[in-house]
Order: sequence, then C-alpha cells, then structure tokens
Amino acid sequence: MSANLWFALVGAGLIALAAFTFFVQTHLLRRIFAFNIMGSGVFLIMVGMAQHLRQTDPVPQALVLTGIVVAVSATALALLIFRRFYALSAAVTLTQDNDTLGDSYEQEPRQ
Amino acid sequence: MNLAFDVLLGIALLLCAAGVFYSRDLFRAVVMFIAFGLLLALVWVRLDAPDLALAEAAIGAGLTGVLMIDAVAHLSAKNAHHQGAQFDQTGARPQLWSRILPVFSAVIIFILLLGAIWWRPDAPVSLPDLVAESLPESGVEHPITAVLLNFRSYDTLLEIAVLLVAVVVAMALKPDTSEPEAGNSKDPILHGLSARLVPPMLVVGVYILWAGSYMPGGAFQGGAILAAALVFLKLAGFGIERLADSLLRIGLALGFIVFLTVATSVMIGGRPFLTYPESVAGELIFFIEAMLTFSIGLILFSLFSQAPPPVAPTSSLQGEQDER
Repeated sequence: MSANLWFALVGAGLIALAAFTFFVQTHLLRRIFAFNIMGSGVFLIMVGMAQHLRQTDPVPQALVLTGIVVAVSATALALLIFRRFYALSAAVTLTQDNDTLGDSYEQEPRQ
Repeated sequence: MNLAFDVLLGIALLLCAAGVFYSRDLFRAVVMFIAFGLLLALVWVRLDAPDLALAEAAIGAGLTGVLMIDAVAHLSAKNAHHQGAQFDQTGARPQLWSRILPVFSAVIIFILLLGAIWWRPDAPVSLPDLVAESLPESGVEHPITAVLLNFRSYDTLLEIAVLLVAVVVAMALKPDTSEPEAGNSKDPILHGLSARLVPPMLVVGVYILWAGSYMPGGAFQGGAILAAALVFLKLAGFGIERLADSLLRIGLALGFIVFLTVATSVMIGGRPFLTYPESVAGELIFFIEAMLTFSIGLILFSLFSQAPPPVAPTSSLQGEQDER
C-alpha cells in the first residue's frame, strides 16, 4: 500500500469522524472545527487518490492550495457570525430544546 | 521505515481530530486543532506536496489557530460552565434512536468513501504530463504556480473574489462601536519582540513570493506570512488598522482588481479571457502574484481584526486582568 492510498483512507476516516461529530455535538464551535477537519479530509482524498500509483500531480495540489485559503476565510467568517450570534443571544448552540433556548434568551443582550 | 512513519502519522492525525472533537475543554480542543494542522503539514510533505505543507503550516495551523483561540477566549470567562463536550444526551436519557443514527450515518459515509477510493475510474488523461508539456509556455518554472496562475487561473481569480466577499461580510457584521477596544494591551515584551520579528517575517514573505516562480512558494504562502506579521503587530498594540482605514480598504480589493484588469486587458489584443501573451507571461504572473500577496495578507488580517471586541468586562481574559 502506497503512502498516497493510506493517506486517502485516513482522509475518509477524518470525514466520517467529522460527520459523526457534526451529528452529535451541538456546540457551534465544535461544529466549526468539524467542518474544518472534514475539509482537510477532502483535501487528503483529492491529493492521495490523484497520486496513487502515479507520479506527483500538480493540478490537485494547486486546487487544494486554493481550497486551504478558501477554507480559512470560510472559517473566519463562520467564527465571526458565531461571535455575533453569541453576543446577541448568549447561546452557544442552536438546539430547538425549549428550556435551553428559553434560558439563553432571558439574559440581557450583551450590547 | 517510511511505512511505519506514515502509519503512525495517519493514526496521530485521527487521534488529534478526535481530541479536537471530544476533549472536555474548548481551549484544549483548539490546541489539538493546531497540532492537527502541523501533523497535516507533515502529511503533505510525505505526499510530495511542499507547497501544501507551507500553506497548511502558515494558514491551516497558524492563522486558523489564532482565529479560534480568539473566539474561545471571547467565550471562556463568561461561559465557563458551557465549555465541556456537549452531547444531546447531557440532560435527559437519550433516545436509543438518536444515538444509533449518527453512528450508522457516519459508518455509511465511511464505507461509501472507501468504495469510491477503491473502485475509482482510471484517469482518461495524465494531467502531470500535460502540465509538464506546457510548462515552458507558462512563463514560470514551478508547475503549481503555473497551474494556479496560468492554466487554471479562473480558480485563483474566483478565490480572491471569495476572500473579498468574506471580508466585506465580516466588515458588515462588525458592531458599530466607536470607543477604542479594551484588548489593546501595551505588553512591553510582546511590543519589543514584534518590533524585531516583523521585519524578518516581511522579508521571508517576500522571499517566498519570489521563490514561487521556480520552487515551492507563492502568493498564498507569502500572503499568510504577511497576515501573520500584521496579526503580531495588532496583538502587540500597534493600532495599524485605525491608522490607515481607507488605505486598507483599497488594499483589500487591489489583488482582485489588478487580476481582473490583466485578465480582461489581454482581450484587447484579441486573446481569450485570462490568457497571457507568452513573451511577458512570467512578468505578468509575478506582478499579479505580488498584488495577490498584498491583498491576501490584508484580507486574512482583516478577517482577524474585524472580530467584534469583547464588550462586557468579564467576557475576555484581558478584561479579567484589567480588573485586578
């Protein structure tokens, strides 16, 4: 098994783990982390699969380079929206559960 | 030997990801995230992708880590009891269904991905050979820079547009606070350190930009280092973004505007959109890259500096220290 195939498999594992986290964790920051790591898994699969049993391929590498930069801007934007949400509602989750939402909205908006 | 290293690296990557997701404390999760980014940079080296390793170490681990630490510090004092790993089942007994379904879906996703990796179709053309064939026409010697700024420059043009949109949204989201922010500490050590660190960082950033035309490096990595230098300056208490607000706004858009201008002005000579005349391709690419580096650095920095300052005195560690 080549290193390329192995890291593509690790990428698949990362995507599955991140998807699982997305389902079970309600904290928004954890979901942003999961989103980010899922992206890293996609990058690993892209480069690993393209290079498996072949030579080094600059095209997927360039696409992933673009992807890394777009991912950081998306993360920064998500964190900003999260902070704005937190400042307005003092909540860190989006649960529909009535008691948690009720608690958080009773507090004064932090402005 | 290499195989053992690869296996350990892959397992460490998965463990770090698990640490990010399930450690009790959010700060620890961020530290695990930074470790994850550095390990991923090593993976890119193993996959023969030094450009990605540079970008991952500077952007994925460095800059994203700074953004996340900032966000967690924003939460920490105010919301200490909320920080633990939160499951739906913290309060009431969980439904059996709600526990099985996520596991089931994650396993299905994993199996589908494995299938996709195993039974992948053969590539009809060999892209590396095509790139190597047309490399002399591209004006640069490094294949990844050639792909990014010549063969697939559409991607890069749209990428800088995405970054610009992100920073415009970030500016629009910024709460309208006119008072100077509280986090502007004048830590003498940080101040002195950044005064010595920033000039070498700028030189390294420019070198990496220049190196991009013939070896790993280029606009994104250089831009990330520029952004890191600016973040340093801001943390050390130099109020740079207030010194030159309108200049910053021009700088944010400069890369995109220059890229678009070059892309469309070649159409005057009857060439298709986004192709460069071969004789000046290298110079044009370097010019665009320099502008892109400048803009990417400013954009990444702005995404950090546009974060709303902590409002309540207890909402950040800084506020706590001020009270003592």
